[in-house]
Amino acid sequence: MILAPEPDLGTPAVPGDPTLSVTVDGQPVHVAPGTSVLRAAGLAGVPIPRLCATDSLAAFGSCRLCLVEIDGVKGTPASCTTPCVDGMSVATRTPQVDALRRGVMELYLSDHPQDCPGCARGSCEVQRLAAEVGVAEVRYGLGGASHVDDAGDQTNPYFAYDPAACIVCSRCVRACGEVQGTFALTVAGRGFDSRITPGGTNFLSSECVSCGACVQACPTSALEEKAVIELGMPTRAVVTTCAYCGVGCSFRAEVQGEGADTQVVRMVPWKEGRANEGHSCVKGRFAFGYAAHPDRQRHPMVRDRIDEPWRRVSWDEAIARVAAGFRDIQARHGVGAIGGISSSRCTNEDVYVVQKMVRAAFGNNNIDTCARVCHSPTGYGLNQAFGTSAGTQDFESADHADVFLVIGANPTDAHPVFGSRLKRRVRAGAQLIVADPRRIDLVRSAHVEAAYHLPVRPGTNVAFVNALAHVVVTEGLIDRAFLAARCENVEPYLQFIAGPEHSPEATEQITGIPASDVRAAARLYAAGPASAIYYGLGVTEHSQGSTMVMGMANLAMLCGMLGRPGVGVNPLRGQNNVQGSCDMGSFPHELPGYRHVSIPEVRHLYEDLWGVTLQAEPGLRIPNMFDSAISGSFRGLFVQGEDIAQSDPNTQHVHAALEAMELVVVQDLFLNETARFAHVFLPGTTFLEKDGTFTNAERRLGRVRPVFPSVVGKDEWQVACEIATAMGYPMSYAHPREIMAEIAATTPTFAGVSLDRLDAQGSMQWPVRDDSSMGTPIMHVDEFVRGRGKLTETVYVPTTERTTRRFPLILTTGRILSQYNVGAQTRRTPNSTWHPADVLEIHASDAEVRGVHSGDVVELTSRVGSTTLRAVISERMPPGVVYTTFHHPVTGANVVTTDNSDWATNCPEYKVTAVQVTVATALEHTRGVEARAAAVVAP
Amino acid sequence: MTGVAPVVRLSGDVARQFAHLPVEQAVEAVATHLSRFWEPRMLRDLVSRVQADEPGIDPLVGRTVRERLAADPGPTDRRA
Amino acid sequence: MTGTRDERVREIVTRYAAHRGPLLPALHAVQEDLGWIDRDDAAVIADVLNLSKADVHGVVTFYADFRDAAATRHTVSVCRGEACQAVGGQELYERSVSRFATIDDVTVTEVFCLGNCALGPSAQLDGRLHGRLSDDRVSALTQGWS
Repeated sequence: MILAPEPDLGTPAVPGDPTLSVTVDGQPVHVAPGTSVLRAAGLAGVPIPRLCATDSLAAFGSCRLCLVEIDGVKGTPASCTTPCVDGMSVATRTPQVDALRRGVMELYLSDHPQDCPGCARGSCEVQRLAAEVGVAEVRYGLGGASHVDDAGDQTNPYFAYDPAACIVCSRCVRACGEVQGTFALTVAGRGFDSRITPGGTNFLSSECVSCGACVQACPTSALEEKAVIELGMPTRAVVTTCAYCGVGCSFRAEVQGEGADTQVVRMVPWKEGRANEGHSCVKGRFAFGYAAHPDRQRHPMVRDRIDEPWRRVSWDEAIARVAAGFRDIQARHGVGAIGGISSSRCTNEDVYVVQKMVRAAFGNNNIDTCARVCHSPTGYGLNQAFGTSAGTQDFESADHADVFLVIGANPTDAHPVFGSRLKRRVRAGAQLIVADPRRIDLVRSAHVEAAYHLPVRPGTNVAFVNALAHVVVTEGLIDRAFLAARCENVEPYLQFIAGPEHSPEATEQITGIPASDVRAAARLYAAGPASAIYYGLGVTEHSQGSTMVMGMANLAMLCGMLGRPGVGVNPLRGQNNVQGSCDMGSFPHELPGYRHVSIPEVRHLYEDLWGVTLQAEPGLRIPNMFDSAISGSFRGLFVQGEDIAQSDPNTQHVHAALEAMELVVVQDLFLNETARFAHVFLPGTTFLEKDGTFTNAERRLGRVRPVFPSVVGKDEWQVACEIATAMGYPMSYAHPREIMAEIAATTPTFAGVSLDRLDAQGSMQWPVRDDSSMGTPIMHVDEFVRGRGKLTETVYVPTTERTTRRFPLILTTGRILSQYNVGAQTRRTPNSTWHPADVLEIHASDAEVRGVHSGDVVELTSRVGSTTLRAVISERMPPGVVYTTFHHPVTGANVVTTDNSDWATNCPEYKVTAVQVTVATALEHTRGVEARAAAVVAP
Repeated sequence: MTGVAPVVRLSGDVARQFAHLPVEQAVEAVATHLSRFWEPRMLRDLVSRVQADEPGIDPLVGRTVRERLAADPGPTDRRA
Repeated sequence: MTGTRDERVREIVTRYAAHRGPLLPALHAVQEDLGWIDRDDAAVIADVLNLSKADVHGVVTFYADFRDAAATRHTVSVCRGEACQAVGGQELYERSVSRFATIDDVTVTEVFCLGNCALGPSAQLDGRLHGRLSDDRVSALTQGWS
């Protein structure tokens, strides 16, 4: 059995009402103006054969197979490039059309290998289509004499290029351009010599980013997943949600086999998925192999001391050990001496149950989540300004933006599918302003160029956003009507921001951005008509992260850029379920739905349901847990799916805190860095085993469906329930469906959500206030959640982390396309082909004065620690700033980052560390041609 | 940063954000923030350090603690 | 002009960067000034014009007139269009290929229509168009090419 692909209507849907009435082979159909005859025929249930057309790409009209006859029209036009006209009558199977189509198909067959393995497998359409159109003989010979012996290209780890099967339909070339926006493919040569090529080199050395759009678009087996070649075609598909970044792409997991014998063949982005609309990146499509990696832990383990070897035990023994250990600590050191950390990689259902375990069974509010170290300032800032801790728009809104202001985000690497959407809109004419210390790809890459790149000095974001607001206010560009009708604290704020200290000229020395550029960018943003802010961790991970979030909210309110399509203030969330883990009550001061623990009626709601008394005081945040561990009042920690020992700042401090604790319980897929300090290890499940929901950056609840059963015998939520039960607080659910029902029953913003509704009606964006609501794509349309939007005087307070003569450079950190965060998953896949090690990017002048050459191993030293890694001289960097990623534990980027944190949320200031860089003298002899050659592959 | 207790450093971070306000408002803002987001043992720790006149404590923090937090850790309902 | 080849390519292409549809005129200018378009030029040209390297490679390889090495002293461009084909264009091409196969300094290429259809078979010899080309005429016209 071969799995049917998703239906393909040949050309993209056209927005609009179906006002045209057309008949195709006698079948009536109604379509929107602009719809192609090919698509109308598909909608009428009369599919027309074609090879070069697919509904993810604009019509191209090259394969000449989709010819039709139309009443009153001369000849046989190609249906893909012919738009429907009202009253049109189309015939797809006349003797003339059939004969022409057979003739065309005969030519294709003459140029196609007779023994095409793809045709045999079912992944190549040519021979199947030839049979369908009734080709009986080929008068021109068979076998593709011109190219059947061409060398293939196996350099990409995930897909192969076999020119023998290629029909040069250009679907791959167009997908790379139109869908992905990389333009890495082309047709070289002409006529019989035409070949698809990634720019005259091989795939691995080319501009290709391995998103796989070309593979998906290919109608033959010329571009095909190696897994399909190796394993054959999948037989079954499960639609689920990706577990990498916060875009939350929908995929069809295409598999062979059933139950525990299930083998994932490939992930195919789902066209119906509203977040990604059929597109993917190299991580989501290809980097799922970690789920079956030999490093994967499958059994619970315990040990008495962290210098002892692990001992495999049963689940029952492990859970009893956890429960007894935690209760014992509480008996000796108080109820507040233990806590838990939930994971933004887990489902909403997992997270809800973990916070319930902490609040109800542990009996305290010491629950935090890894969102602490990424987007907690988003939660604080947007809640202060708008009354809800989430982005304002859906992703589709970007298709209506006229101006993008991208601040501290690198979407083409960290949120690639959204990056492709953004680039598509920019190619269509939208203007782009990029505020980032580095020259990221969005600043300038093929066919996309930012109107302004504002290289803001790390740590000075608030001065920068205030300067933008100052220009808007003092030049009279504000939306007075919006401010009057929708906002509060307007006059005090206007007075504050008009102060001369906020002018671009006054802040130029602080931010390093020329005043004229700030003024021009502010005018562009204010002019809109639809201007949208997108931001990432370059905003939040600062000592004034929360202030900056409020500063951006101020700017959007000043210009009336809220509550309609194409505008808004939008966080690009780092992890698949950052939004959800925050929504589910993972912060120590908030119950689910962002309701403060001090509010009696909310507490009572849960107290009645859970049958316990809840603490009315906030609990400890992650860094507070570490501090309290070192001072002795916090002694037991349950940490799920976050490698705090690698990802949290000031590694020595984190290690000291973990070593100080009596009982550290780690639940993870792998024995991560944190597990080195653990006494109990509980194996976890991958997204391929999970059942529940993830919530992406646009508040969309996407269904996560198990592709195969848990390989460790339990789900995360079950483990949390069993720990709570063993601690004397019985907790159980029969299915994640029941957990979501409890969430919906207790949280007004989720009242209309259920797994059954998500299964039947598709993804929904919260708030979903009742069973009839399909959710809220755009928030704050008529009024803000808090009533009036609040303008806040955002005073710029410089970070205490300053450069000095000893530490003259600023280190900032980020991600790269092929790797993901601490790399626990992606390092265990062939994605490491592209990024085998972290490197330090440094500006040529900073390198020169230090005698650093590309490829040298350098020592990177801050006030708190030092590490070594290879340097690469990079044109992306401004002078005075160096950059690295933190995907590999050996890099130890967080050995050098400090305890500094956002004043409001304690989100670490990863983006600003004063450092010095020196050539590691002991490795001087490595300098030379070889080392430099090795470094050329780095960005 | 070594040698300074975490609560001293963290409370100073908060105080610096409100230092531009008239002092009464600043005290109110710092008190509200600490009581909404700080765990009680951290507040107790801070109070005892202020009462012991430990060096390095931000003057605004000192004043906030003495005026608002030493006796009463804050209002019971601390919604936004 | 001085500087590395990359610098010279950058300088030439930059002159066209503000034009509408700058790639073809820029490629012609590079070939004109530097003799040929090197495979490695694509990266520089793509950077200046904000195209992908593949975009440039596709265009360069599509047109037979763009060459990737220095021109030979002599060129023979035989028309392979339909009208010439009907009056012996294919034979003219094949004979030209074998005639000059051993002479290093001559390049024989195919072109598709020189607009001289009434007078085929046609070819350009060192850029000059000739019609009604017989074997003998080619011999006469290329005397001394060796």
